[in-house]
Amino acid sequence: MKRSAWLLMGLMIILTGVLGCSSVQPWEREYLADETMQFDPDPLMAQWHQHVREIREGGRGGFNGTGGGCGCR
Amino acid sequence: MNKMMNKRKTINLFLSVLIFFGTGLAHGAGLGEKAPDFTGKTLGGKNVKLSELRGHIVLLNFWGTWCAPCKEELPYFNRIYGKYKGVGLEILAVNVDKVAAQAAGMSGALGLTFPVVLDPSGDLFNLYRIRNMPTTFVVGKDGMIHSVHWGFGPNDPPRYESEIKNLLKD
Amino acid sequence: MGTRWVRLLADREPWGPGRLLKAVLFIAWMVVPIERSWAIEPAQDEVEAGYNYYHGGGVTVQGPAVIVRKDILNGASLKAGYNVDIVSSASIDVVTQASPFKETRQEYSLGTDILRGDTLVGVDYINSRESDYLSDTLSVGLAHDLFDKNMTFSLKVARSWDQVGKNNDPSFGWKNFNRTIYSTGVTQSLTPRWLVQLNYELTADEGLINNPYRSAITLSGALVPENYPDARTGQAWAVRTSYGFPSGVSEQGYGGILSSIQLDYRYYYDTFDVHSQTAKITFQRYFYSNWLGGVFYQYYWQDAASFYGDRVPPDQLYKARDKELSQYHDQWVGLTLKYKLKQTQWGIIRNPYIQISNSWMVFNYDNFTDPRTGALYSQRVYVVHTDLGFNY
Repeated sequence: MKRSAWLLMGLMIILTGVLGCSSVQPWEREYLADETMQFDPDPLMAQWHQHVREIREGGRGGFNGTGGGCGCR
Repeated sequence: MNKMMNKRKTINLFLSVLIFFGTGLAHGAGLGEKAPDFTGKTLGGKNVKLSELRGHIVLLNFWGTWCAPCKEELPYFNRIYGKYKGVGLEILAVNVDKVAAQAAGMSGALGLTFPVVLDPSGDLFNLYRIRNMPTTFVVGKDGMIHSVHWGFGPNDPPRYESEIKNLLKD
Repeated sequence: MGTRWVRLLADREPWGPGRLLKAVLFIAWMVVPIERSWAIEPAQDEVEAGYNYYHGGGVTVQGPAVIVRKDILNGASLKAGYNVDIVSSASIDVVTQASPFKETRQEYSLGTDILRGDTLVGVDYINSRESDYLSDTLSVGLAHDLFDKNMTFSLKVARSWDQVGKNNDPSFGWKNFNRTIYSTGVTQSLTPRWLVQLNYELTADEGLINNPYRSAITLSGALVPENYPDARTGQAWAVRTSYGFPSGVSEQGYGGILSSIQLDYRYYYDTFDVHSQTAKITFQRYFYSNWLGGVFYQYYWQDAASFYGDRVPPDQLYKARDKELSQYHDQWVGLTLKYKLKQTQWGIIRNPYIQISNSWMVFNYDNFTDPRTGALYSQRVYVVHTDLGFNY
């Protein structure tokens, strides 16, 4: 477990450096604002499907995350 | 217990890394700078040049139809435009939608009375170094950027009101 | 509940000056407005109400669900939810080892999201109860935008304190089961139409892990109690990507997304020796600007836990006969249809929508048999979800 935490940290730092180079401008996020471009935009449906997975699958987790969208404030 | 400590320390390190990378927000066109001049085409087909509005207070707004806070903000601008237009307020709303008809549709639905400048290629957004949607610059009568508003929230209307009133006194 | 809070606090590191300083700075940063980034997103107030349905393998679960979200202060929103599972079970385990039953599970949730500048902090509480299972979950999550919002980093810790009981067996009492979930992820917009997300999640269970109603079966056919280790730690690595296809310029002027494709993959492994993989593809397309149709296909396969056995030697220490710990694979196909009125206002109601999702699952077990026939077990399940909602 300790080893995978270090691996994860290394991966995150590399990713932060490499992926930080991508440059979608704040005004170019029109498509990303659309619900079809987001992961789990419908909370009730996502909750129900997640519930079904938890009951019927031995594996757990991995499909929660935040991000994408229009980033408008 | 040791495993829990290691996990917690790793999480602490992540947070430090992300705070280090994240808190350096880029700035858009700055306060106290002269508002970069441009010529844009409006929905009505006319050309508008920012420098020709010297002597007016200009609210220069950057928006898109896909941006939720932008849609909250435009009806408010409509109201203050009606209130202060006669005494020297101008509003230019620069829209970034790829298709003009989208902007026209929303402008019509909201009954906007101020010019909407079309910028589908984002050149004006680049010129003003926009980092947030929406962004509004308050440009004084001298053509200098008096303030920058990122986003639109409940605190903004009173701030706009007091800024406009102060600038009108000059 | 009091002892749970004491345990939560006792788990923490000692309070040294460094930790204290970090806490003070964090609280100050949350409370004191930072002038340049006092740009709060008006939270989208919304109501969603739906109905869930699951039917297959002798089990029917159905019930309503509702979520309400409201912006209460600048940048802070509150959300509350309620859902019910009405269970009618005559599953393979139930019919071969017990008798069919009905049960109702109720779940309440309360949460808050606070947005300051580029950081979102969320705290959620979930309470779930049924006659033989009580659960309290508290989670704290953080999401932060970096690089002009091209990258979002998220971190979440959730802790559940569960009480496991057994109907019709007062001598069983209530046994503890605790779960801690650590999740972290990075979401990156690679191009204006391409999004990628990497997630890692660790789930640590301790306490009574097995279902107290289920028995294992020995080689000679006798029923014996299952026995699981009292700890289980699982790790999941997942990657998700979403790609959009623009509609191009048309006479109607629709210049947005026309369709999108999404791919998900997850690899999971744990200390029970369960290894599993999930692969899912989703395709969505707009029709006539107000209709959205979608189709998805998911393939899931897993290896059995090391102490799982359809029949086990009686002297084996750990024994499991839970088909969810066996070796099996399943396929899940679904169709979704949504009707959404964007830019519409009816009095207080804005942007109403209605949607329905129909899906079918087929499970094929490689080493779990139906004790009545001796044949390998399989089941077909029908899963439906429908909901409607609006902003206000």
